[in-house]
Amino acid sequence: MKKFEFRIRCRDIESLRTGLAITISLLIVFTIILVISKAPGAALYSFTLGPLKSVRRIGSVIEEAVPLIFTGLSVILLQRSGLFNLAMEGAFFIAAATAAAIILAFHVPLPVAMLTGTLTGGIVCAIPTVLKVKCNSNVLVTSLMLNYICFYVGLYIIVGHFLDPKINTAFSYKFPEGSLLPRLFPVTRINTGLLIALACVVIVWFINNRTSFGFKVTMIGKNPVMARYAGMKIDKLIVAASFIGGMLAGLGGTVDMFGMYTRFQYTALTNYGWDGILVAILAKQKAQYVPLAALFLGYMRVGANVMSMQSDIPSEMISIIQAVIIILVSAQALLKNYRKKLIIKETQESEAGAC
Amino acid sequence: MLDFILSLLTPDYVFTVIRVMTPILFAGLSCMVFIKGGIDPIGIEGIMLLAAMSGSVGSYYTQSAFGGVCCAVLSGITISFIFGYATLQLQSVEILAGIAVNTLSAGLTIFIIYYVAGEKGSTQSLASPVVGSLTIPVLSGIPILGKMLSGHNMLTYIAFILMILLAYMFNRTPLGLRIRSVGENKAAAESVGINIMKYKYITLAIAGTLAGLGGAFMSMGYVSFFSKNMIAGRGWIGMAAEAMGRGNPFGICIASMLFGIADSLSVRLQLFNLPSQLVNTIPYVITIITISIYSYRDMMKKKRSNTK
Repeated sequence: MKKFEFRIRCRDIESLRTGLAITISLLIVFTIILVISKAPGAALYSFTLGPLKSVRRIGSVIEEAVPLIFTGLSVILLQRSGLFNLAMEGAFFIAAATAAAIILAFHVPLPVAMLTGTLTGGIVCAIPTVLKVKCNSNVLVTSLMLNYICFYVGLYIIVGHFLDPKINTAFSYKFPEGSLLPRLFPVTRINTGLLIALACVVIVWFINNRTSFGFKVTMIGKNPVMARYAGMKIDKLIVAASFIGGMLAGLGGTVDMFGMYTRFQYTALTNYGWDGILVAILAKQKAQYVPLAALFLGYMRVGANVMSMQSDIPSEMISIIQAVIIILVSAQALLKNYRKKLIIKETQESEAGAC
Repeated sequence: MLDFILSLLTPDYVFTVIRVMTPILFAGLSCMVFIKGGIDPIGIEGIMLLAAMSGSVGSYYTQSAFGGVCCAVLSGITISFIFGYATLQLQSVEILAGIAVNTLSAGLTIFIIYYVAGEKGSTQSLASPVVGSLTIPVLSGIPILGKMLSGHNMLTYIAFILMILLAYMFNRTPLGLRIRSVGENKAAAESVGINIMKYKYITLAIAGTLAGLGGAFMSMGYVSFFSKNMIAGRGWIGMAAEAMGRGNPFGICIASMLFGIADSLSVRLQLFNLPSQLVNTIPYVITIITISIYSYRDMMKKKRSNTK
């Protein structure tokens, strides 16, 4: 029988870097808490173990993770072709707004409204890519501008037409009866949106790994010159990829809206799109790891909220963790020498084995 | 309608345009320096936000506007050095590191003002001195021109002076040429003995200073306090202005003036009972359209020169 041994190989280096990034970021934040908090013990306790304290909090972790799964998947598809299209933030928002508007105006069944939102998201994310293909404009800049347009247009649709005058805040009318996603467990707000999210994980995994479309898009991202020589219709493929990515973000927006709220309640961009970038990085651009990455971020979010309620540390501290993780996971220089050593060792071993 | 058009021709309107375009001009110039040095400028939004916060808080602690501006500039340089360390030493992807800077600033600013001012929304409760305005002696005496050009915030004049200095620096001085050579062709620059790292950090320092001044203007000139998310995309509009001005300081100035016009137009159009949300999209729509037209023309030019 072959002896089982624990060894680090050079292909594990990326996971190792991810782990290191998370550890370093947490250490930085723990240090900050220790320095500035008057009761650091309580703050640390509620940040790390707070989310496990009650069923409702465990539920919130999952609730928080669901939109992050959608935007994480969206970012994976949007960036797969090598473009930095950041329109998922706006797509998430405006999809929720259009879906809410359609359901309030025409009382359509929920799936129809969600489909409309999804398609809106797709169209929004396709715009910067189409402009790139047709006019060679900078995707980054146009998609950033588009986010603001989505925000204001979405706000116009809701505030201009569906505002409930009976309440003081800028929320819409209540969604009609039966147009909310059914809840799955009592006490928590976990709903069928979670199942839709998991289905999307499978779909994106399938697209990326088992279809020629996914293979082509990956190839364009890795080597556009090669893809061109292979005769791929690059323009159509990248527009299609960003359309699908946008649809995922849009679906996420509608799921969040009909799963968690009874009225349209967004008053600012949700930031879920940006968080999707972190989720995609943590998941190493692989769909199957997205739920795990989203759960991790969701756990930290809930932990930070619990901490801000029970101690003197505001929950915004979490952005420090997020920034450090983004930088360190993508830091090629981190563990570079270790990787070299591992490569040398492994080649030596395989040579010795061949002799 | 006629009244509306006439109201645009007043010196008052021109004054507003210049005031509104100032942060965008700073942002655009900062992006220009970033891009000339071969660095992606997406983090500018976060740099400006952090600088705006430090400006306001610094001005409160030192009780002087100059101290505030210094704090803003220093924090701008510091954060762009952190960005530089991440991309140059740790070799992170530039766009991701820039996004990280934005994420960090968005949270860190709220984190800090929560401790300084006791609330998460703004620093309105802190009495912080602001940068004063400047009345230019002879100019202010001229009837219409004086109303348009005199009496602006000092940082506005600094922006225009820096614009001219930068144009001179990049076209006429060895420093400017070296920064450009590092940005355009790193290998070639290295082969003639230019210290790449040194010039990358000089680029970061200059760009950080400009973004810092832009942030300082927001919290110490445009308004007199810091509020969360107060940059609201102005850094990114600066990126757009840079793209439209094609890396020429004067082009960037015209582009940011265009944004200034669009932005102050949207404020005035709201008087006409137009839905304010739709009017607010005007600057962003104009950005997308102009960038597309410009890029399209560039692409066609390239195609034509290739076929010749």
